Amino acid sequence: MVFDDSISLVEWLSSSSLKFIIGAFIVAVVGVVFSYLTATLQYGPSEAFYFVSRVIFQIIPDFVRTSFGRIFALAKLAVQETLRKKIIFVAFAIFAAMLLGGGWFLNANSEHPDQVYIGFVFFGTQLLMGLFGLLIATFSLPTDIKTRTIYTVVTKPVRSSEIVLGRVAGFGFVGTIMLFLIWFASYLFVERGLNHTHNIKDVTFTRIETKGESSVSGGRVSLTTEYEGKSGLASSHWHLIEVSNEGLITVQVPPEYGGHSHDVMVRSSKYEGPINDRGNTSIRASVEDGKLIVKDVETDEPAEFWIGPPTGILMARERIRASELTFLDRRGNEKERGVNVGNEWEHRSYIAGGSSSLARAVFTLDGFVASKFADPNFVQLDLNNMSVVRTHKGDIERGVSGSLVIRGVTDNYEYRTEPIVFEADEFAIKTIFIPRIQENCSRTDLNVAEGEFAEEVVGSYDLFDEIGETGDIQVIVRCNESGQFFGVAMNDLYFLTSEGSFAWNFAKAYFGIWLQMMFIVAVSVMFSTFLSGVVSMVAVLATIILGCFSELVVDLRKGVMEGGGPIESFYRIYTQMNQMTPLDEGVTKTVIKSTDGAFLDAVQYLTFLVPDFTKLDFSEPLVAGFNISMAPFLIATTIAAVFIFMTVVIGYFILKTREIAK
Amino acid sequence: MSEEKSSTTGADKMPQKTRRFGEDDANIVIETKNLSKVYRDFWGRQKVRALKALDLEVQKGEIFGLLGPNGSGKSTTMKLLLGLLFPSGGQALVLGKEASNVEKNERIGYLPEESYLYKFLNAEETLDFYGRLFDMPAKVRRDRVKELIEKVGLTWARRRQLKEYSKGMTRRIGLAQALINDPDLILLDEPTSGLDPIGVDEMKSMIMELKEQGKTVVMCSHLLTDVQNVCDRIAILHQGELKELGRVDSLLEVSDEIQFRASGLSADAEKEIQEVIERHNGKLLESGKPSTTLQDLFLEIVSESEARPGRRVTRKD
Repeated sequence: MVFDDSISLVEWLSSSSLKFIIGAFIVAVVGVVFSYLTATLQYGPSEAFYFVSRVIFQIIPDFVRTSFGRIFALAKLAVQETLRKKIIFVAFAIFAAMLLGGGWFLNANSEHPDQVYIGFVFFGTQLLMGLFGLLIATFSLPTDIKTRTIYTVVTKPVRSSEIVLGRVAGFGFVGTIMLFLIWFASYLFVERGLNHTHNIKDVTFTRIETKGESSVSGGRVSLTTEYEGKSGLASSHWHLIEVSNEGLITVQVPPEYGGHSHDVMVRSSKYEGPINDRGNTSIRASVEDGKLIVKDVETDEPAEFWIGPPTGILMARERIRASELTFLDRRGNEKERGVNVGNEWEHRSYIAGGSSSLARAVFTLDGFVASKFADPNFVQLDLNNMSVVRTHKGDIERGVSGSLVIRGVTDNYEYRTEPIVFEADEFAIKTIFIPRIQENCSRTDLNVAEGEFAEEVVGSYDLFDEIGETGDIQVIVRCNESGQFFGVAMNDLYFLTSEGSFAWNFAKAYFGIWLQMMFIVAVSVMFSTFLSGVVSMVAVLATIILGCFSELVVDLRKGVMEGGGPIESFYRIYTQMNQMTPLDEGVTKTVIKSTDGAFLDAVQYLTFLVPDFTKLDFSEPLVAGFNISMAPFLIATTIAAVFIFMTVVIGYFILKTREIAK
Repeated sequence: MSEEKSSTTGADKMPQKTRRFGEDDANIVIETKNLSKVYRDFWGRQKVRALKALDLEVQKGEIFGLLGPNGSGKSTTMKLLLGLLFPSGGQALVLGKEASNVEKNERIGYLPEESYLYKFLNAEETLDFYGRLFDMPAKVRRDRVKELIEKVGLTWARRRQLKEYSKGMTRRIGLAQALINDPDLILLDEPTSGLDPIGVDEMKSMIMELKEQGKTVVMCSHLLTDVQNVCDRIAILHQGELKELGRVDSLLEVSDEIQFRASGLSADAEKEIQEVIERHNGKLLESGKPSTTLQDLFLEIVSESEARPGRRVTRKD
């Protein structure tokens, strides 16, 4: 699953409300029929009808008369139960042990240590909170019914809705406190595990003979290197530090410890910040006798300097992403997908390179406005983990060459920037800085009479006010080298607008875990109103599994996923047929397809009854270092709120229609 | 109540049925009509018929006892009145409302047989919790908790978790939770169970005190002497059927024997009786019909019921 934050809450609601209504209708009908059948067995058909009808008509009055005082009392009881039985302490001890173990075994020297650390604590927290919610909420009510302590509660003026809500609120509160502590501990673990600096003052610099361009992620300018030296060792790695003849300093990304660099920070009476920042006009570095000297070039006053915290990890990047990705094939024909290079599970599509190939990947981006960018004069375009397939080795020392063109269409003109050439960085973020004023940009007049030749003017145009005047632009990517392929997906290209707070992003991602935990608690309480503790637990696990794979089921039903349903999969395994090969036409295919179709239809309707758990999971943008935008946040909150409400209503209905005593 | 009328224990044993079921009457606290309960298995097949067409009325301000051997249906009756079970047939009204209506619980206190309380709470927390369930204001709740803890004699142990309590202490705090809302109707299931003799005596005193305060008490107990001492009226159930219903003093009357305890008789009568008594070196103090014990009555009813199942007990005068 690829995390998608391009859909707004309103768009999502309009596309999902029908599914919600169908789901709610199915739940209501199934609930009433199940209750009627159960009551019929106990009281006979006519008494059962009277009984179920009475409960249905009592739902609204009961919810209206719900007392927050009683809910608070029951919630407090649930909290006391969890604390006095020391469940929370056991869970926290397990998490602490997990962090200690993680501290020993996590590899800080991996290519992306931030992803390893964040992934570890995030998955650990998800697992622990899920189990915690499951265990405390599934066993509580059945235990109360078994030990009959519920008798003294239901013989007070307590409504079934209050019992269900009180438990959900109480266990939810305990879970919230625990999650908050875990979030805090996790953040410290990640931050302290990865945050580091290096010694620069004792570095010996040597003059290098070969000069070249150096474009650095997180930097602002291209530099010409003059001196280089190795930073001090920290967190098992060092960086190559380069001093340019312009007096600026670049800390290179170490090849064996990828994903981060550092800014060299300076402080004088006039300026404090990264030395490479555009705002710094006076402080420059030089090398004398192999030692770094940093000073204000106007006053000749020495400046303090040090290596700052890591950049390129623990990020929360804001971005403008593509809303659509289309392809042109070798002949320039528009296609939904590019070339399949053989890996059928790959979500990327490929474009063939070469001067004769017209294959392009066309990214369409909305909302491309200057106000979104921290520095609109120099916008940052990232190619994130773009895939490259080489059919021949080529020049293995450098990346495969590609180029991109920004295209904008207004009412009167079509703009195309001069091709921006880049070398593809596989499994890394390729950053390209694009100036706001585009030189050598072509403008074609669209208001030409039929049969006349459209005039094309080459000149300097503004990226926002002219090329992107409508707020919509296209970025057209091509591979320049013959026999090589670029693989792209919709999320691979974006404009980085600003840098958000990683701590806040971390908290937002944990909010997703909170929503998951609250749903698990609510579902556990709902099942425990009529099932024993162990059976409730199994039912909740089945719900979670269904929720995690609901998108897969829908994709299978729609035919988006190759390989078909269970019968087709079994047939393919038995006949050793791969998933891309079409089945032979005939009776066998008809039987297989119709059986799978019926099965998947049934499972698909079941998925309507549970939330899409992947929508409540923000781990992907957090690990990848992207800011979690408001839209998926609101969608997840809406999903959780609606399903929690539904489970509370079902729990109320079941508790109301069941006999508490035996 | 036709069977009730056939009883030979007199009309004073049973309420007069001059009103219709469910009709407003401030003096009727509990009313059941053909109340039945059948326990079924998962497939809906009948397992046990726990209660058969029970007709009952409990008057305001009386102490009413439900008696019966194990499995007679008295606990089922109690659970039906509390809404813990749903009737398979018939109806039950408690304080003028259907038994399944939670609003009736505002004026009810219930002490279950085993004081089913949360063992991880202490006495104060327990009463505070149940007080909150009645939406009692904080100050009223605090005062009531303090008052009840003193009343049941647990001030010294009010901060101890209930898991550390003895059975007697648990019964006391159980009674306190039943009284937290100052209820009009108190249902006590085996109230003296697990109490030592002093505790039993205190419990009985408390029940009598509740009666003096105008409360209605419905209790079921196996300890017949307790019931005999405190109950105004009793109902005896056996195998789900009502076997006897009436005032305790009437039910325990032995009609074929005379007992005297007198003073102020005429001189002749006194002389005559005195002569008889003096022949035996005694003194006449009272005369009247002697009582048997409830224990004897209970055993008699149970044995007759087993001999003639399905019929109301007819007792010899």
